[in-house]
Amino acid sequence: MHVHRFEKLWIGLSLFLIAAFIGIVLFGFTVMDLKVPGIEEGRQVDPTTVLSDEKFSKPGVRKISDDHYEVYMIAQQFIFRPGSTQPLTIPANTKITFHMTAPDVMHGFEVPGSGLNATIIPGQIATFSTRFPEAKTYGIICHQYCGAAHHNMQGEIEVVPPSEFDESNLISQ
Amino acid sequence: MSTESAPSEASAPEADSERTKEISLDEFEPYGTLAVTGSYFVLLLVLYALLYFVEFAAHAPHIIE
Ligand SMILES: [Cu+2]
Repeated sequence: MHVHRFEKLWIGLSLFLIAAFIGIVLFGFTVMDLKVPGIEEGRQVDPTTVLSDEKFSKPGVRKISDDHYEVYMIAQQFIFRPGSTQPLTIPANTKITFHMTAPDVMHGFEVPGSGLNATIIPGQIATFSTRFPEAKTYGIICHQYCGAAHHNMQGEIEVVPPSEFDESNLISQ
Repeated sequence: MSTESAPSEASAPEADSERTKEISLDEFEPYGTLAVTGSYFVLLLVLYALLYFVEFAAHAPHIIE
């Protein structure tokens, strides 16, 4: 079959483009060491009883060590707990591990303008760790359509300097 | 008006066929199409790199594990 040389050129460029897309993603996950959110392995929860779960019945911030805090968060129609009625307050430059689940329907968790983005699925615990580099206020939005007031489902993360972090609001186990 | 245009219409096909030139596939060189396709190609690569490296990967905080 005879193929025109221009056709050969853009067949070649198309193949290069596919290879470049795959290459860039591989580069991201190896050299740049990017991570994606996961689900807590081996821990399924029953969405109908998760609100009385040991940790999720008292959602909030717990201290693991001086440089590591964990956040248990419930996403439900149409609030983040904590986050919506009062901001989630956490220290800057500290490792924060999020554990999130939903008792009703699928929700999303996104901090706009950042790399934090997870889908919260009833029955599973979405989890990831991060570090907020600067003390400032971040927003949270739900990016999965979850019902009539989905567009109002939002929250706030207030990142404070570690020295100003008030530990009296921590959940004591 | 119509009497003037009639003769030129009649002679048009003849004039066209005189100007028709058969070329082989390789003599057909659509440089304009190549330029448009090429600029879209470059645009696509540049915007993909921007989206991935700047919008997606560079904005802290990001997931560390
Ligand atoms: Cu929602």
